[in-house]
Amino acid sequence: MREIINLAGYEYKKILGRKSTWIAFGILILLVLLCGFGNLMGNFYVEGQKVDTHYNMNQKECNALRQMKGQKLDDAFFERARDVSAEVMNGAKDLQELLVSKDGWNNYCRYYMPYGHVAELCMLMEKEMDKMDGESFYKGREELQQVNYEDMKISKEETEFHRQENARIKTPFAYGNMRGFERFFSLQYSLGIILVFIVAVCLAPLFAGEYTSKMDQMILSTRYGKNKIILAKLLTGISFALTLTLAVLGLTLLEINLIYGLEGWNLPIQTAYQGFALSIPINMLQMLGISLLCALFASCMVAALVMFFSVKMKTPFGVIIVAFLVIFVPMVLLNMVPEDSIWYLFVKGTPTVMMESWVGVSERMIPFGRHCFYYFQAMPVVYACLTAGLFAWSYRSFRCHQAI
Amino acid sequence: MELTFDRVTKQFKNKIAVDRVSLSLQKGVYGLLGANGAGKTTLMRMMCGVLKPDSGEIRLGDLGVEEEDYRDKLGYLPQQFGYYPEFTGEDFLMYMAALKGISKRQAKERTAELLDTVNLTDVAKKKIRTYSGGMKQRLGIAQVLINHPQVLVLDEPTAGLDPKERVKFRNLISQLGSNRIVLLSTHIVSDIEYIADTILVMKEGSLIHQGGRSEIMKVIQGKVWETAAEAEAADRWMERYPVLNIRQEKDRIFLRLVSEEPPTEDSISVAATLEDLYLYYFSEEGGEHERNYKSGRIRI
Repeated sequence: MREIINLAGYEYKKILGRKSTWIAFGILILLVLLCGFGNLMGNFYVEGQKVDTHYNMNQKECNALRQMKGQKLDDAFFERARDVSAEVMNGAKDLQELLVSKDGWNNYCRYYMPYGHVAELCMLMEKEMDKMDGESFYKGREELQQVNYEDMKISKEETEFHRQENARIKTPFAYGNMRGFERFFSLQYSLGIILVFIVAVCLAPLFAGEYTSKMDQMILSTRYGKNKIILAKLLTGISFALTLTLAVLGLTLLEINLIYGLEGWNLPIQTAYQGFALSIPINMLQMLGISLLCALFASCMVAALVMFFSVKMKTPFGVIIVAFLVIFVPMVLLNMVPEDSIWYLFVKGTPTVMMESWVGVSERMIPFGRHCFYYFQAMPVVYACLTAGLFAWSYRSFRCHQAI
Repeated sequence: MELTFDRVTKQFKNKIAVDRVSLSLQKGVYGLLGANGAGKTTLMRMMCGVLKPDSGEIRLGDLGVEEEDYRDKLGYLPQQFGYYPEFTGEDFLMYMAALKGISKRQAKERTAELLDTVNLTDVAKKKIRTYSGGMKQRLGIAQVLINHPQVLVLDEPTAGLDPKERVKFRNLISQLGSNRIVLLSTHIVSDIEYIADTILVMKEGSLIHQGGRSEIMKVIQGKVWETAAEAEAADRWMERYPVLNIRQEKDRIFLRLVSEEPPTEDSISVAATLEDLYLYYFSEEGGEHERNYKSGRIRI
């Protein structure tokens, strides 16, 4: 093992010695910063009139949600929301008119903003918050879930499963500042795609680079050239993908914490806009764990695929082209394939799509025998098996490589 | 210690690169001669396990080329060898040492020793991308020796070296041959002439000759002539005899050629060199003569 780790060290030296690697890292860091802080740039306009800066608005919104910590989405909450709404809107014809006046905007931020997020959730159900109470809110959510199940054409068994899962969710929902988690989950998809592409660019020369540099002959003729060096390369590929994914997502999380705060870790994911209709009974922290798990496995899967192509193809450039297709084509296919087809299940399970946090816990599950599994349960197992298979194939292919 | 080739064959599409080569090598320096495409590099690659023979077997005693223990005893310098531009010379040797299973401590000592041997100590910490062609070649030679190999396979090791360095490495290879098997392929015939104990001649995938220098030279000894002639007469001779060298001097042309008998009365018999033999075998004309020689009816 010591020899393999030693050899892996040299593989890292090769990767980190390339200018392209550092350019890719630079792009990645810039993207991480832009994804977080970029949202705070510029001003907020209503009807062409500047109302506030995005930074101030964001701060006000987070503070407003923080004030709501410990509150529940029950009858009392909706009653207070109605009162506040009536008070804030007092005298104003509509929301636009309210927002463009300085006092109106300040009142809106101070009094109405804490309830704004729930108003958005009500809009998901095509309902107005002013006309809601605790009971209608949760009933409306159940109706929304039913509509979703019908739209997705999911089976009766799955629907029943979701009903049972849904019953396990504690109501009324606890409320607070979930903005940080929401933002992180929405960022993970776009960042994850760029991340795996950069993993592919960095790992493409792992084997193919030896062919183009004509080092393959020398390597294959050495003592460890047909065994330990291959294991070292595979170890390098996987550890590189894992480290980079953890570093980028960790940095993003740190940035998000700085901007939005992550104090709403124990809120149910149903308080988040995209998690509202989901039936899985977990909190934000558990969702973060699932999201990171899926991203790490997806990243490893891409690394295994890239290394496999790297062994099989003659140049790193060819590997990058194939990796580009593997990463970006599923994004296009996802919108083209009918949701009730088997292909949809397949496309949804591709590493690119698995970078989307909510896919792991979505209503559309993977049927296996009499059971259904969430993507976050099934795909890591599938990826682990595929990665092991690809590793064995890559190992054998490089070992039998003929230096012509 | 004996390295044996048993009817080793390799074919690429329609071309037979190596054709049923059987050979036995023991300690000493073996010089492999052959024109481009003769199959030398393919034979060496098969010997190093980087190319699999279609049929036949190569073994070092009980060890097959696919075995780790065989590779542990092997040092290979390919004709076109790669390097990592971002590595320093020292990094590169340390990496090769790690690939060859040498411990870090031993590798450090051996690296310093070899960098000194190949005169690269001063640039050990510089990136390989800054090295000249000769320096890279010297680094390649150093990596071959890092594991004290019992079998050395050197494909054009002195290409790109200046004459002084070339002679130095020739001598080094000669020393190495005293206690290991060294197979050396080069187009610089004089290198083989000086250091090879046995010369192997390959043509069109087959081993057409093997033996010591004096033995191999018997084919051509006493048949190399130098003569001078007018341009018109020189043209006639060039059509008739295998010409080894042509030198234009004022209005006369000096020719070095191969013939059973003196081509003219004033021709001077000269001592044949290995280069003469090489040219004789591998010029188009020479090929014909070589076939005649093989069938025992040489007529020049």
